[in-house]
Amino acid sequence: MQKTILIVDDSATIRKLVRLVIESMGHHTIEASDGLEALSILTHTRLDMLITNLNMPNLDGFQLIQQVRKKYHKQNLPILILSSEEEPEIVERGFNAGANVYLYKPLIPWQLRQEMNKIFTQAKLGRD
Amino acid sequence: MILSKQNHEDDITKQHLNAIRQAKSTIEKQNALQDLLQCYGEDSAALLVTLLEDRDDEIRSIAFHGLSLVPSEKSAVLLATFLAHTDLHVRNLVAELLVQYKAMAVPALLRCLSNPNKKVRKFAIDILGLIGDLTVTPELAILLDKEQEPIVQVAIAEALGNLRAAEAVELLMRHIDSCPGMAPVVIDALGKINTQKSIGFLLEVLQRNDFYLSLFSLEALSNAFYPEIIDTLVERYKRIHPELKTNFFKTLCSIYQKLDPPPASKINFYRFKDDILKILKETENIQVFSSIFNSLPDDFIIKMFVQVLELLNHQNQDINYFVIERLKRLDKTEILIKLDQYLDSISARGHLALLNLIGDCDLVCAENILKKLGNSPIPEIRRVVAEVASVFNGAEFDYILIQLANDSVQLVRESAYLALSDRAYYDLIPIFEKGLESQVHSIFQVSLHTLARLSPGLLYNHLEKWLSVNDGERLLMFLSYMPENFFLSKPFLKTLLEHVNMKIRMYAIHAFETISEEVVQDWIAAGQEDKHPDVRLVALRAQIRQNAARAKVAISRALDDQDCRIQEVALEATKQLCLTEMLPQIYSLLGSSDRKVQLKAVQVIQELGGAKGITKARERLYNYGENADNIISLATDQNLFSVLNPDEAQ
Repeated sequence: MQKTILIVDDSATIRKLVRLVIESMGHHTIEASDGLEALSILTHTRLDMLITNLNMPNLDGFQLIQQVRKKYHKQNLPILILSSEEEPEIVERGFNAGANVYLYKPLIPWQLRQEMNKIFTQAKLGRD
Repeated sequence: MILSKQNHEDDITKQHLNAIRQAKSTIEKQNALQDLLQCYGEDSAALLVTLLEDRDDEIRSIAFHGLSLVPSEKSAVLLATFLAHTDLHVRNLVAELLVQYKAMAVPALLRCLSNPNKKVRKFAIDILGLIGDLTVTPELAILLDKEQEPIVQVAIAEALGNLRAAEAVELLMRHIDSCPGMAPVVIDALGKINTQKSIGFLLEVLQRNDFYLSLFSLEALSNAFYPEIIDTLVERYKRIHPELKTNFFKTLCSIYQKLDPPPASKINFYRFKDDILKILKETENIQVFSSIFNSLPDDFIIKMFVQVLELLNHQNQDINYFVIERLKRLDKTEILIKLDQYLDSISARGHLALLNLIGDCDLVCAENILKKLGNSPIPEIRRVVAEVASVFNGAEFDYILIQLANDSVQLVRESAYLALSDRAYYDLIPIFEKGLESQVHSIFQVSLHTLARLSPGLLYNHLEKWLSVNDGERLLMFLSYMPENFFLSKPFLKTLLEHVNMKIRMYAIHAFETISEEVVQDWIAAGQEDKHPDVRLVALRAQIRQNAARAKVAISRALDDQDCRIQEVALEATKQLCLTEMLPQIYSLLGSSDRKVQLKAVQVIQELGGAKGITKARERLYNYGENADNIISLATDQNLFSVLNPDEAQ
């Protein structure tokens, strides 16, 4: 079944590469270049997953995730962080904010596909 | 002495910073910032940078604003030291400022390339890529050759792509496999740089048979505009992963579209017909569909006409209309002749889309298709046929419309009648006469107006018939929709104004109130003697609206009416027209058993009679045994009155 995935990254290159990977899986994507734009999309679009960078202008990834979870009450929306930040404390902060998966940049396409499939399988099992 | 001067300057600096920090409002903070900028000019940067770390978001925002006003190489050096900051927010503000500083930030950023912290190197490279200064290419190239950190290598490749650095093509080609995750970014960069060499390399990557590298290469190749690559790309087709066929054709078509003029013989699309049509049939993605379908040459569409028509059966309505838009670019008449033969192979959805194609095309083609679709089992199609047929003239189209005017579905009939009303030939009179028998108001209205134009005598006959059989429903519909320029003879007017049906009398007064003839106005005025209060009310309103002289008499009569609604309307009219001569009648209304009439009367008395009037009203109210003060205060208290009489207040 086709899913809708929001990709949030200030790098147009990363957004494009992630989009291509996701589209090759048969899913639909929406793009946002920062957290604020992502929130405005989130309010009027039904999403199946959020993939976000951390380091972004206006509203960073941590703030975005926190708002998605607390302000928008989207507890079940799978959130995947794709970031170049490798420090354990930042990774932990990402999970504490509400992320489900943390992937390091550079983007490894098969890795992204694998993690997304895992999330969707878990979500399906949860529903069944 | 020198020391004390330094101390004094430090004090001033502290004062300025504290002024910004301690300001209570945004305006105060902005004013303090202005003072700082005026006092220190470019040197303010050193102070403002420290404020970027402040806990207060507003202070940080003020500092950001201030720093954006003093761009300099010196400021950039200060800002660049913050690229290693642990607070993401601070780092992002710094990055944004450095991008704004453009060329002034470049020297500071280049110095960061030798920073031992890989994050600083990465952020500096990202910012250089965004600034877009091509002169940094050599430094980035040198760094790529010696850089060990994947995250920095990838950042360099991305920046070189963003810079469109043609001189870096070979370097990028060499580094495609330098580290995990490098290849996708290098491929994207080579596509952006878009030289013959970079594009040639991307075509080689396609031969690696790696799914993702082929996927990214096909996307990167879609930027290309070199006709000579088409043959090589077509050759690669047989080795393309089956799941990437859509991407392949999207790229091929994208390149083809960029060639100006497109070399018709350059790509033999017919060779790929099965795959192309399969993709077009199956895709749900309108962008994929449009980029491929739009590139297909006319001769391909004509050769594959039946299969192209089948695309109209697609579930996605946008795709249906996209097909139609593409077909419109061909010779419409030729298309419609072909269409006629294959109409049965198209679904209802496709038929609807097709009707969009018929407009200014050849009459003969349109006639056959509209005839067939006019018999469609789908009412919506028949309705649109009526709409489309309305633009064509000729007996054949009249025939189609007459047929649809007799349709079993109301919406279809309405559409057909509307279309026929524009034609209004004498031959069509019978259909409009039939329309006068319709229960559907829109059909009745269209028929009424068309007949009034074509044959008023005939309309009189119908009116006589309705009167003779006492068809109240038709008479009411007639009075509701009576055409403006249709004049009834006086006997007709009188008959309707005196009709036994109360509603007809009401509608007749309303319909005829604009007739200024004295005798008709007398008949309308007689409505005030009607036994039914609704008729009397309509008659009063008609007279107030139409004739000021008659209004006085009508109002005076209405003030004596027994019906409270009529009295209220008369009171309001008295006030509006300032009829002080009515005051004696109004005083007597103070004895009304209806509280709303009483209150309204007090209001009018206050308006027309002033304080004297109110004194007199108070006396009268006492005489009627009422609590005069209470009623007067209720009526004259505007707020309370509006609560009690919301309609009146409005």
